[in-house]
Amino acid sequence: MEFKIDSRGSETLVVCTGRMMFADTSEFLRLSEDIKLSDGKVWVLEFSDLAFIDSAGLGMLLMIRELIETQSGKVSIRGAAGQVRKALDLAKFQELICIET
Amino acid sequence: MPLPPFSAVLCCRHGGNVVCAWAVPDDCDGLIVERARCPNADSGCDALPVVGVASGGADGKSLEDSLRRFGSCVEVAFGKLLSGANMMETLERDGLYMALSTATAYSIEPARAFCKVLSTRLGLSAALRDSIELAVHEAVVNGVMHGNLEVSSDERETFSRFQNYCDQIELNLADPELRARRIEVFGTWDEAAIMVSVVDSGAGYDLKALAHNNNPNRKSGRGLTLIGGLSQEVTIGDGGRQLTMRFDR
Repeated sequence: MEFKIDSRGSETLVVCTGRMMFADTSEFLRLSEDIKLSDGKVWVLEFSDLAFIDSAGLGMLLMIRELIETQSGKVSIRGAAGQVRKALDLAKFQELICIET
Repeated sequence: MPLPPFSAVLCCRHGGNVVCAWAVPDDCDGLIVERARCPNADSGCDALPVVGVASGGADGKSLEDSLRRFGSCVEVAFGKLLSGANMMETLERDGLYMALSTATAYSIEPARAFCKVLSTRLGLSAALRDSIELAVHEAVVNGVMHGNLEVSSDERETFSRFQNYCDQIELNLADPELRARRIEVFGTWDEAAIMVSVVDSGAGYDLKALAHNNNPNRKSGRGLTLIGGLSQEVTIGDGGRQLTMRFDR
């Protein structure tokens, strides 16, 4: 997986591309550090170009959500489709994190 | 340049001796035996394809090419041909089979290559292919991480412990015994369903003894839930080392 952080108005976008998986621990730790250093309050995980996510990736999403919430921010997911949307639905993530339709 | 000294294995299952396999020396980069008619066979018997991949690991493309061409991919790693007990039966049923070392399975995406070839062979819909790929991926990751590498997911629950989790993976991947452990993935099918199994070489586990964590905010432990939701039947066998999934077509 690769990610790029992009501030757009009041939102901070994290544009994720590729495949978010168990082996992406370095990218996840890098993203976490970037979030800690940011003063953004409204975070959007942009998943339009994310092709695949596994259960470890889902777990990392929850850790990101917790991190943002400890910084008094909010996070949502945008653009999830195909396999990614299916995994989010199967794991009932709509009950855990805002998923924009 | 002299050829490396192979040790031959003779097959006599159809009444005559035929060289059918070789012990692979440590310095052998690879071994490919193409599908061909067995000289001993009756008209209904084909020799079985066996594909060795360069020692030191395979990449995703060579894995996919081997599966596409031969129906199998068996890694030669750490001086051993890693074929397992399920290879012959799978290939006799014209299925797909791969056996990889833990180090290779960790570094590439075996389920992706496996499902690409499976999808091409069977003309699967994108939705079914996605389901099978995620389920097989989860089973492979379980087998590699918890079975072969003996890494617990408990450390993934908090940021403060996540670095420990990463360090443990690195440490165990460097262990010669653990990184060489085999993981098998194989699939067979009929008109109604596709069966895919993943077999690791770890200590196994008792499914009933697993602590079921239903906390919706848990950071790990969703793999089996996803597999259950994506497949129509899940069977755990061989003391927890084998997970078999049925996908209706």
